[in-house]
Amino acid sequence: MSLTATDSAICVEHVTKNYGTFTAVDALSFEVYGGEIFAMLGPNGAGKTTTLRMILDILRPDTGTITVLGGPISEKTKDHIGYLPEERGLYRNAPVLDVLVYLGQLKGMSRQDAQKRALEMLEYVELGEHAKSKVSELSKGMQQKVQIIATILHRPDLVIIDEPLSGLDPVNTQLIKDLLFEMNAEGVTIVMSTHQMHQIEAMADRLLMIDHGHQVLYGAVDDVRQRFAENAVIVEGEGDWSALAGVSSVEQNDNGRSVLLRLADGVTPDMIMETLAVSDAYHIRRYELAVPSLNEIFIKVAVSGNGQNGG
Amino acid sequence: MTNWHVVLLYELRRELRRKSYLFITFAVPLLVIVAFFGYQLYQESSEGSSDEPAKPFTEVNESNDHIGYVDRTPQQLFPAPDTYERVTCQATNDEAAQLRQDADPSMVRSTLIKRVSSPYCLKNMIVRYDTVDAGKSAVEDGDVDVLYVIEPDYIEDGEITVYFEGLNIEVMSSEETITDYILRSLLYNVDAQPYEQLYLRLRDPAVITEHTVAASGEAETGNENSNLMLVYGFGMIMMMSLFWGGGYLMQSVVQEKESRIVEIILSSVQPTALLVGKILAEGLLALLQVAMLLGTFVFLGSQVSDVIDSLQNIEVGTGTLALCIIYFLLGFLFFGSLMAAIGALSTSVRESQNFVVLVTLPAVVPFFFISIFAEDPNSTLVTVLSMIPVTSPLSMIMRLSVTDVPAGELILSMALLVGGVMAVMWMAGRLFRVNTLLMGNMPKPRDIPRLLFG
Repeated sequence: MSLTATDSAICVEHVTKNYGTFTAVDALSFEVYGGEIFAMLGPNGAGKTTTLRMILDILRPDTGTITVLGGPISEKTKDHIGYLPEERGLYRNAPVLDVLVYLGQLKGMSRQDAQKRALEMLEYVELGEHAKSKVSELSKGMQQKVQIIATILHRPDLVIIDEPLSGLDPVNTQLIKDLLFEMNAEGVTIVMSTHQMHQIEAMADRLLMIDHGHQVLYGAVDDVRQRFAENAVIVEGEGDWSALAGVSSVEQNDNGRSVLLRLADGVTPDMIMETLAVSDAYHIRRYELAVPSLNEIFIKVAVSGNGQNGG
Repeated sequence: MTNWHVVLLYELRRELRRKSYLFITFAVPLLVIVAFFGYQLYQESSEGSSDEPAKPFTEVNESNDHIGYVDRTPQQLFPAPDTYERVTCQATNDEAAQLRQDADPSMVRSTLIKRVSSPYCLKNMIVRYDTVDAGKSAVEDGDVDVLYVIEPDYIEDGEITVYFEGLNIEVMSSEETITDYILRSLLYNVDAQPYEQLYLRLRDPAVITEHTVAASGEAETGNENSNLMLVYGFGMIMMMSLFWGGGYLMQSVVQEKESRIVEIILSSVQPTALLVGKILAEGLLALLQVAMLLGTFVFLGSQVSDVIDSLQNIEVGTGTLALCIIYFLLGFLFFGSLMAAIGALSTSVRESQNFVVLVTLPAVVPFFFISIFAEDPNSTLVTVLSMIPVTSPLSMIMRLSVTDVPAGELILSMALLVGGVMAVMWMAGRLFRVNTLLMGNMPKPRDIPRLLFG
């Protein structure tokens, strides 16, 4: 069931979910395209996990409709989804292989197939010799690897990971990033949800930013960042920056090594670079556009409350 | 509802590897059997070779009792054993075979019985004392374990007084011996044939068969003891599997929450399918456990003749057995779902234990009325208890084991129970879906309706 970019992997339309008087998700709509890496961003309590659980049919929306892999979610559809929740664990007293085979069987795999694939994947992440060990005998990092295997064991078409990198050590962070890119290259659609926006802004193609259950930003990651880019450049080097023509103000960055040069109206970064290139008064080691991080954009949007929606 | 069978098989495999389960299910019965036969071997070795000729119809008491008695009857009805005519108490092999043919009375046999049950044969166990004081001194000196004083009015009122020192376990077995001695002495002068009849009859003077009149007007024959045993037996099976199976089930649910794997599982399988798989697996495991223990006790019971005698009176029809199994399964589904719901509401195994009593207490209510179930299984109380889904599984099983239940009542009770099972399974499924995921703490009672219907 491999999807192309023109297929809709997930379509959420006007979905609302209340817990008593608390509205966790409020008239939310968005679409995830086949084969893309989609990031759902927002602070803790924004409604990300509730939205994912509704997509997975663990919770039912109060209003609105959700289609997954081309239709309403069914038991059959679930077999094509790999899900790694934020609150994740394994049976502690069971052997690793048994747990993986069980979870694979629940996803419709035969026992033999699940066993063969689990052993292959354990070898791949260098846990082959621990196949018969109890989960409780593994280190935390090893357990994380097993959880990741459990998520993709059945070769899903859609992988949904809630807080993919939370609690991971650096080795496993790289492992999961590599795995996700590898699967994405094979056409697997990936949805990630996180409040640590800086960790995945380089990975995602498109994003949805939510706060208090509302959509505040939605679109291609590069478009969003460009839209919030200021007319400013970040420069690292030596020289009297305030004397530079076209610079309206100079700010020292936190690390002390670079400066943020805000440009006067009508002055472009290209014009400044041309000036610097011909002047002997300045030595430049680094020169880049001052594009804000997703974190900075979120703070800006959340504080001003003027979310902008895009394509 | 897919994948319930995957859950069922996994739970079975997981549980069957658990050491505590294996210990209770297989090691405990084995240990009990080993202990039983070990004790028997010890008994035999302490009593001498087992190759001795068969003992004549168990009449010669080979126990280690040392009993003293004082005969205060004016007629001196009970001379000392060794004052009776000397006879050979031990039967030869041929004689033993003759004794065992109780369906073939003959003069030879009657004479033989009279010989081997002569008061003389108790001479090694029973000692006569002339006065109560002499007897008491013998007890104090440890010459005898107990002293029986046959009072002067014995013939009128059968009064006998017993003296012994402190807590003495020998008293219980000695009572049988002294009764036997009295019987032998009183019948000593009767001719052989009436002696046989009287002696055997008076040792077991009344075999009572009850005839209760059923609503249909037909007399039903039953034995109260075996009824009570049946009611108790079926009730115990139900209770044990409920406690064990329900306990395992609850533990398995809570552990999935504690280990935080439940959300991964619920993304693959519906809560109801997860529940059904778990309940069936734990039910089967509990049934196996109960069957093993019950089988052990029945097997050991068959080794003890007294028990098998009582069991011979018990007859359970196939129809009744089928109904009992249906009620057992429905009952397990009902209580299992309730236990699972408690598991779903709890955040730890310890927390869940506090709430188990809410399920088990109503379930055991029929046990409080066990005598009414045995004596009057169609009374209003019993009928009502066998209708309410919480009490009906145990009540109906207990009731079916002793009487026929009208078809209408059976249908109504079963319909109510099936409805109850569906309701609690739905409830447990709802709590699984919502509560397991959204609550870090045990919800308050007022939150539960919202969790169910919200």
